[in-house]
Amino acid sequence: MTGQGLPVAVVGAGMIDFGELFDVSYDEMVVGAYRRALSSVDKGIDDSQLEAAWLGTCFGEFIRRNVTTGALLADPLRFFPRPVTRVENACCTGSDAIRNAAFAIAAGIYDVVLVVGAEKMRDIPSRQSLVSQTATVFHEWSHPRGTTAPNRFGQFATAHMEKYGTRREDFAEIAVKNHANGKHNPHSHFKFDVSLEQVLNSAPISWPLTLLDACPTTDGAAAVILTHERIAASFTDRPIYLWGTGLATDPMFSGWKSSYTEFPATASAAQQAYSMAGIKPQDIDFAELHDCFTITELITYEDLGFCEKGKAGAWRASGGPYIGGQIACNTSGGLKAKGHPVGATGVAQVVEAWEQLRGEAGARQVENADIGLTHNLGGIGTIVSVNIYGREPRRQGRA
Amino acid sequence: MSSVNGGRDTVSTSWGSSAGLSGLGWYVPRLRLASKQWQKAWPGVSTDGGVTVAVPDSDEDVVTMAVEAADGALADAGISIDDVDEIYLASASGPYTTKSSAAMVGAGLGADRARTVDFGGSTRSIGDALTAALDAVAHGRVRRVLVIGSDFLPATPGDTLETRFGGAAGAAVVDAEARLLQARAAGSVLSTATTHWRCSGAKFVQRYDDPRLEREGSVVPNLVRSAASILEPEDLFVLPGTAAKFERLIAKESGHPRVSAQARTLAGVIGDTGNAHSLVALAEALSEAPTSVVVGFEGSGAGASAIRFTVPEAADLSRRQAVLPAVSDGALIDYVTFLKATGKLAPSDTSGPASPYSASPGWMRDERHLLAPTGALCSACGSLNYPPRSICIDCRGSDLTEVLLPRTGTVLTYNVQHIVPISPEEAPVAVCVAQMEGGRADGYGGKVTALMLREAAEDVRIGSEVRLIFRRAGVEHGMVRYGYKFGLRESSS
Repeated sequence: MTGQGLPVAVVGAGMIDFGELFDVSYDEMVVGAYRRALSSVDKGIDDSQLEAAWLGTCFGEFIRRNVTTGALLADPLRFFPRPVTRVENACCTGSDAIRNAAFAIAAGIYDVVLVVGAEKMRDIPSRQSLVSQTATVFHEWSHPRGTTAPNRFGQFATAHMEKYGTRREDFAEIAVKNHANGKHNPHSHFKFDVSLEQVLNSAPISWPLTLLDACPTTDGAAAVILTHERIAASFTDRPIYLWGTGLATDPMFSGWKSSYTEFPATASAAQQAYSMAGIKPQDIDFAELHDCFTITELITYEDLGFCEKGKAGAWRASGGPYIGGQIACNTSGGLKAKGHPVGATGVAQVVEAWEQLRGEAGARQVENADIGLTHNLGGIGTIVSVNIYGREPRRQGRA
Repeated sequence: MSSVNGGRDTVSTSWGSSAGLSGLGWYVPRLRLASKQWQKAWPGVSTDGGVTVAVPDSDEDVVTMAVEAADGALADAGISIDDVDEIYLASASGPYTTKSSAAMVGAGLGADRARTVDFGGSTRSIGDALTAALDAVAHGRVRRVLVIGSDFLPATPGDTLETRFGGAAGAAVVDAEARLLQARAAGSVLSTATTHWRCSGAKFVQRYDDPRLEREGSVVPNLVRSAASILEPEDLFVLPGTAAKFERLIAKESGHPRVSAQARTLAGVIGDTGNAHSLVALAEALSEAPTSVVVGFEGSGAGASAIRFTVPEAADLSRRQAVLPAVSDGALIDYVTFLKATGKLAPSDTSGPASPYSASPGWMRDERHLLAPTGALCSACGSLNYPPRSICIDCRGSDLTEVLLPRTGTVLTYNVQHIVPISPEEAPVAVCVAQMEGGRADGYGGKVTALMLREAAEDVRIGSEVRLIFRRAGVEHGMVRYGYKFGLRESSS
């Protein structure tokens, strides 16, 4: 399908407001996202038109369920007896659920499907969350007592600073940018500005990263409705189209990396997606990037080809990733301000693409937004997904 | 001299010229508790030791100290662990009552065929371990035995014994070559008299509050009797930790003036280090270039023993490093730091999240590779895969050979963790990824992730040269986990 895109359209997309949702259950989050996606369909859609569904949830054990299956979506929606597939692929969970749903449409199996991403992360205290989960995954091989996500990304920050002269401020400014964007997003977990001084002086968690370099732990859910492009017009006159998708892998153990200044799987996933879409990085108007930590977004500029290797700090300083810049990055606020409910994150990125490509993003609207990219990075660059969406169907020709 | 419960029987052994020591190693932890600091916490209680005692940090114990000392002894003898048939560990303060510490020391050293044996129950056990090793070599049953004494006896907080017991390990390579010392004879005295003891299940040592008992009822008379039949006029008498402060009295009672002059000084810096003490003191004594020595062992209601060694003519003692200069610049700590290092002061819950292993078959499968890090060396591309794998991480080759991972490497990246999810490490800690020597350095393989030793955390940089050091890694399900940390190598510190 090189350069041809996929015959897949998004005809509806919606999400619940992300946050610390003590009073909302996992089931209620799923139902909320589903309803918003359905109500976003311009010409309306009947639930019975949905033929199958994919559910992206990464940490089933966080919601006290031993086995997380498609039933976690089928049950609350009373979706029976239609098929539901549960996807777990670290931080790529939501994006990979979309990718697999799109393949089912491209294969001609279904015409209309639902994808829901949901994660209930705040039902447990933070010391039992991702922080210590990653500490125990490779507990013994990371002598003597494990490492954490902030640790592993912090090591990339140290190495990037050493090799390319990247300054601490270069990635701290990304937190400032994403908060500034996120405060205009009604769905954001954080709707406030932070200053460079606040980022630099916030609590040190994993030098050189501070608390405000890290995304929050967030509850949330998002949903999209995908159709074959041939029938998209029966649901809306303004669908968006999936132009390309890529997924790539790299070693999961931080002691098996080939370098600590890049994420090779990002470059590989991007190459797959660019090739399928028939575009170059410079064709992209906006991108939702996986800013689990600010340094991750900085390195991702380089891995996606938005700027030269080693020049991400300078590209940021030149205004490249800002709204109005060369490629606006994380207009939604990103994981940093919008929040990072792992399974929901990739699906919520499509909600932003939906609003940007339809010109509905309000104060954070990118002018003439024609092509958008979504990126998720799981583990320590262990698994990376890149999806590309366009305002027009790829095969009717643009580039 | 009167004797309350003096030696009843004296047993002598003699060896021909068929066994002795070919290497000596020792390890003394860097932390020091000064008696003055202790007295700030417990004013009005008199102290029982010298100026300072050596204190193992919270990631050290009898096992980790023993591994360090053994590494030194192997290096001194110029051999590798593969040259060792048996490993004897003597300790009265190991981490377990029921579970072998010697086996863990063997695992930490990378021994995969040596028989490991625990000696214990008293602080003279190291003398009996040496005697057994000398016998085994002399009778031709084995070629080489690694004998290690390691101790840090636990004292009750506030007990003056806290100013007496120190932590250390000493190790000796016993073989027929006897390049350092030729064993000649041994004496042993049976006595049940003791001044301190620890009951099963008790955390701390108890004692009689009567210093006369050591002088007149146990330590001094037993040692003097055990050595009486083997002491020659030219011998240097090396004393165990229990006897160090009786240096002059022993000289007088034994009628032998050549008691090692450093006994009191060494004990004054590192404390009475139990089963480690006589070997550490022997290493110190050899720097005095004696022609023969008698090494004494004593303690814990087991009487005393002594072994006489002569220095072979071919042995060159002139370049041997003395212990004292190397241990006299320890890091002084306050009493709270001491309590935390020794685990006497700990958060109520230090269990932390359990590892994915949790006493499972997975742990049993991987333990060997973790305790003595083994890599898989790829014959096709030279990548050193760690952890070991079936398909090469760099070239997908399948011809991989298991090798012990080299212990030295260079830091590729690091950062400083201010939040540590798993107790008992205290933040901040530096976490490093290092490229180990011995494999190709341009790919994925050959890297180890580990914490930097606390004392070196601020000095680490990308490019720092480091070595792997065996340390404790907390406790899970009541079982001590061991792993590795990085320490800076001399050249980059």
